[in-house]
Amino acid sequence: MAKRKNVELPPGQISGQAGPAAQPSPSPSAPSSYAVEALELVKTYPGKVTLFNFSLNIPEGGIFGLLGPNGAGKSTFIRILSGLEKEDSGAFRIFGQRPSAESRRRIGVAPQENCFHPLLTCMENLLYYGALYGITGKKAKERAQELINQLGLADKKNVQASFMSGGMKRRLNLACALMHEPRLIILDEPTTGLDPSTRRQLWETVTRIAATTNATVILTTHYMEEAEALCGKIAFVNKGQVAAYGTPRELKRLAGRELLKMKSVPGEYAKLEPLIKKLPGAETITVTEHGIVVEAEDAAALVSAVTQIFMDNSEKIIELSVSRPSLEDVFLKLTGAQLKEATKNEAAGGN
Amino acid sequence: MKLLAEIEKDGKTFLRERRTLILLIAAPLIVLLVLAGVFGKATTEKALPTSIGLCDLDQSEASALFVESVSSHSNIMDYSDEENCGNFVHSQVSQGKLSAAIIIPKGFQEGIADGVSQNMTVFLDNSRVQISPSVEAFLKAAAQGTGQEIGSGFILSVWARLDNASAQLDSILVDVHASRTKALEIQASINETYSSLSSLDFTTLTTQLDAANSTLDGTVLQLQAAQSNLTLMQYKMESYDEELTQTEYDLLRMRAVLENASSSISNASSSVNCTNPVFIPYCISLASMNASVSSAISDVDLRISKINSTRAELREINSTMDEFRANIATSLSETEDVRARISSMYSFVSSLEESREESLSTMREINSSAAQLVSKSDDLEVLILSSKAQIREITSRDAISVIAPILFSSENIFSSRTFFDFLLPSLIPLILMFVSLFLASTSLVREKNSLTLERVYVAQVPLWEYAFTKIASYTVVLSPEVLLLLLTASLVYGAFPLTDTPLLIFLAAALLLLLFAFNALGIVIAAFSESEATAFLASLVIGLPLLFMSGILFPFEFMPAPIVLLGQATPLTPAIIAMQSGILYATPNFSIFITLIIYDIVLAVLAAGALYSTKGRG
Repeated sequence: MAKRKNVELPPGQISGQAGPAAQPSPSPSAPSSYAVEALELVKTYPGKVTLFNFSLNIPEGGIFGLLGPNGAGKSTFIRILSGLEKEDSGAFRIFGQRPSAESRRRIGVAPQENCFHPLLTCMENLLYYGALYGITGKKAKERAQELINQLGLADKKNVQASFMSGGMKRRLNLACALMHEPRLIILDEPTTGLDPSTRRQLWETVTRIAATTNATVILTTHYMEEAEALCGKIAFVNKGQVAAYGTPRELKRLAGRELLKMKSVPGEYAKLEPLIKKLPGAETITVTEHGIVVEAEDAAALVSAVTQIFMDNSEKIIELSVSRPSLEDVFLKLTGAQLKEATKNEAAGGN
Repeated sequence: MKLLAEIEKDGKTFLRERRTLILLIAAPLIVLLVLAGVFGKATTEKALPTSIGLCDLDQSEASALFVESVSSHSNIMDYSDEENCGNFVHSQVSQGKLSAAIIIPKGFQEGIADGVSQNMTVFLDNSRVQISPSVEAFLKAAAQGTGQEIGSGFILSVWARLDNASAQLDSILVDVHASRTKALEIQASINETYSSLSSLDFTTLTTQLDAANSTLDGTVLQLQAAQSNLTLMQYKMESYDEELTQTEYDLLRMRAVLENASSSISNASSSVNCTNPVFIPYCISLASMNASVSSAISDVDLRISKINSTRAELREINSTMDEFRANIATSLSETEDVRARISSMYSFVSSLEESREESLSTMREINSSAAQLVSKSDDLEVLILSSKAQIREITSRDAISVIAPILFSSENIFSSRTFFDFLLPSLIPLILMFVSLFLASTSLVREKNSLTLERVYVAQVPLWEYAFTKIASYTVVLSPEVLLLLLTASLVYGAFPLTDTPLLIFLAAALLLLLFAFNALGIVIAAFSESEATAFLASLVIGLPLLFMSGILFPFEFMPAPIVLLGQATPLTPAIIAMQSGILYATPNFSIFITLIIYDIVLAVLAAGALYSTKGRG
């Protein structure tokens, strides 16, 4: 068990951000525009360090993604934020305030699992969780109805939660977190276990909520596409630390350039290479017996010009592809492991 | 409002969880029904006769008397004819074929007749916990009954002997009374003598002797003074005599001188012629001178004569004085005698006084002895009279009352009520204890495992507030169960009149306080339980000992002191006491509420502490 270390955290002052795309620290004198500022958080369990010098600033507003494999420390960070766990050392602030019951009551958490009472209806669950925040009576009913409408639960308003589908349950789980109109919404892997269609619907819902409320949404996920689709900014979390931070585009740049792959017949690539090399934007040309690969910042922009060179040289194109580096590639580059593998390994280790 | 929301949530949850709801309603009723059937027999009804083995090695009237007494309560299986029947009946009991067995030893009757207590061996199958004590009790009762019959005969013979002794005490009493009277007479006589002796005044006598002695001393002194004076006088008289003798001598010499002078004058006259006128004047002077000398001689002679006469008188006086001296000496001698006598008188008076003191002392002793004798005689008389009274009192008693001075005249206060009636006030709290423990613990574990509890934590509800809310919510949710049980107890089993509203409120309040306590304990259990099964088992592990320690199944009186303390230190026991006071004894014990409220507070604090300690363990 790590010994607790007290760290004094001035408002809006996070430094030492880990990872290659270190997050810019705000000026000490500037008012805090961060929903969450965490500095050197450490959390250990017997035989396991879950967070180690975890430092992260989450800007206010928008959707912020916490991406990482299972066991990376995302949920632990969220549990610490929401007061379910106590950090061993380090410090954090919520909207510039020290963690307290008052500051934490601004948080709404939709946990990974569906956390509501299955024998209560949608409306009853929402009223109950509203009451926990002191929202009662007419106001509670109106808010519940608003959420039910907003999240597409109107048909299930008086249906017992246990009788609802998985997607509806996830929505109800989310609605329960929103009853008290939190400024910080934490969605812990909200789409895990959902089919693609339901997942898409939930993405829309999350996007709508983020757009309609001024709340900051922290989304933890291990789905790259989900993070890419929803999050304005993402922090890669791995082994209890922030491995990288930035917009999806910024992060993807870390993984390398876009690639244009072409295969043709008869495939005399050697005479094509100098011609393609002359094209503006083409950075590196690699010729193999299977085709030619052009590395560029914007590979798609080179497609027509490269195609023209192939045709001019009587090469019949049989395969053409443009590939952009994914967040998976970023994670691979940063950690040397596939995110899926890491998730699998972590799960196996956890088991 | 959180409380209302919690109550609404928990209430709806229980209502929609049909199996739980059915169990909540049905299980207690089924338990009550089953137990009513099991314990429905009236306490005044006799138990079925028990089989008791007999090995009568004496085969006497006394043993038959005992066996007859025992057989009125049990089935006697007589194995006396079996070889080595003692071992046989022992094996029958140890194999569970008999509840008990009795061995009546050989010489049973003779021993009793000789006044030797007889020891019968009884083998009891104490594995039959419920029967064994009653079998032992009625065997003891039978032994007591038989003993009474045998003993009463003996007591009557003792009575006769005591009556005889009482008659003898009467003659002793007469003698003692006579002795007492005589002692009193002696005492009176001694007192009189004592008084007389005491009045003797030896002091006056001694004073008079002292005065006589003093007078004697004075007399002696006077006699001695007289003697001394006499001696002095004799001495003076001797000197006077000597002077007289000297004077006489001088006078004689003077006479001789005078005679010589006279002769010279006569010669001178003769030698002168006195006729001659010249000589005549001479002669006349001579003649006158001679006459004067002759006169002087006569005077001297007279004087000598007087001296002689004086001397003679002096001699007489001396002689008289000698006599007087002799008389004084005699008197002195006599004073010595008198002194000796006075001295002896002193001794006599002293010895007389000593003798009187001794006599008085002796008389006091005798008087004291006499007084003691009287006192002892009085005591003895009282003792004899008391002994006689005691003997009279003893012999007037019924022999049976001596052997069995205490007889039971028992009355069942609760007439013919059943065991179940007595059990019911304990059963209701017991059922509610298990229901609340199971319900609170498993429900909260479910909330914990479904992470709905985490939402409560995330909402930053203070844990003490949540613990209280949760306990109160479960209590409210289970309150219909309280009413259901009370209604069943009243309407189905007639435990108390439903119209007695204050009693109903008292009972409901006691049960609600109990529910509060065990709901709190259920939350403590839930806080440390990983699963509903764990919570259920933990509830059982806690609930079952509480059941056994509550005095319902096993009385406190049979438990070791530490267990009694533990048993009384659980919320179940005061709730049972409250229920018993209301239902069984119809005197609601309101003071027990204080104990229950203390338990509620303590357990609620524990529940909050348990929630706090387990928060964030995941």
